[in-house]
Amino acid sequence: MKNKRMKIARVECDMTQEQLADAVGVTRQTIGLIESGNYNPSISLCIEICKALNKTLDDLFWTEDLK
Amino acid sequence: MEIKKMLFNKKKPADERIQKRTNEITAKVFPIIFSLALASFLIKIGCRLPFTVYLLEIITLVIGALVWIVEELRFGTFLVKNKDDALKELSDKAKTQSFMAMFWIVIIGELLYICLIDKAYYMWVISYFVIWLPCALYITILTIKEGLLIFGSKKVENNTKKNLALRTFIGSLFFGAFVGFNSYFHDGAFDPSGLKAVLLLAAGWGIPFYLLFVGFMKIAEKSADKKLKKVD
Repeated sequence: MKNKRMKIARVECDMTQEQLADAVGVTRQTIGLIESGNYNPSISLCIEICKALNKTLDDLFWTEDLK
Repeated sequence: MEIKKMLFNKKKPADERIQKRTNEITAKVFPIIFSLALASFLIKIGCRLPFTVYLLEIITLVIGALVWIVEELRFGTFLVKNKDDALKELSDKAKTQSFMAMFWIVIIGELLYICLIDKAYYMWVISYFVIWLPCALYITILTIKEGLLIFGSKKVENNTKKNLALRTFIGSLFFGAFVGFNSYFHDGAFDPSGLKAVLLLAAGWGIPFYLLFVGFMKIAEKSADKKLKKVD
């Protein structure tokens, strides 16, 4: 499932995928795969992404279906 | 100062996705390198060769097995049958570490073998190529095809190229000095005119290696982007 919230948060911070990748220490392709829903990041990577985008885990990674 | 930083600074942790997938690939090759080393050992025993000719296989197999068992015990995955994703990841990491230990023992041992073994058994050095080369080729081809051997960003690309150039330069000098030893040191004396040969050997190995490696990374980058476009 695509992670549109992460993409929106990234765009709001005016960051490219490459800039976010550099900020969290992964490759641009990994950020792309996370946003397209084709890679499940570890919890520590999720936390790094949230820190870089100034959001919480709930904001970016909580799935509505689990509620 | 910058050179010191490039050579000795602690590396940033690798991209977890790439590390995970690379470990999966290397873990698959671990039983292959083990079997090839074992086969080489058994063939040399069967041919009744002296102990020194198959000593490297013994060292490789023993250390490989030890590293694998110790790491699997450390991760708590040893002989666990039904592994979930997390345990499988740890098990792959253990096998990767064992593979790398075996790989480097064979590579370095091969060089020592060439220097120290009786010339009558020189031809048996081919057995070491047979052990490491197919494994290295398999891993290299797959990591390029799956887009794992990549820079990941322009900033990393520039740093990686600088780092690679420096390490290749140093490595190729060592290579030139080792292979061209007889050209600058013969009859117990140092011959400075032989250093030209060292530089030529170093350039002959270093330049193609650098260009090939950068080329492979560009191909892997295109492959990774292609996969990303497919899923988007």
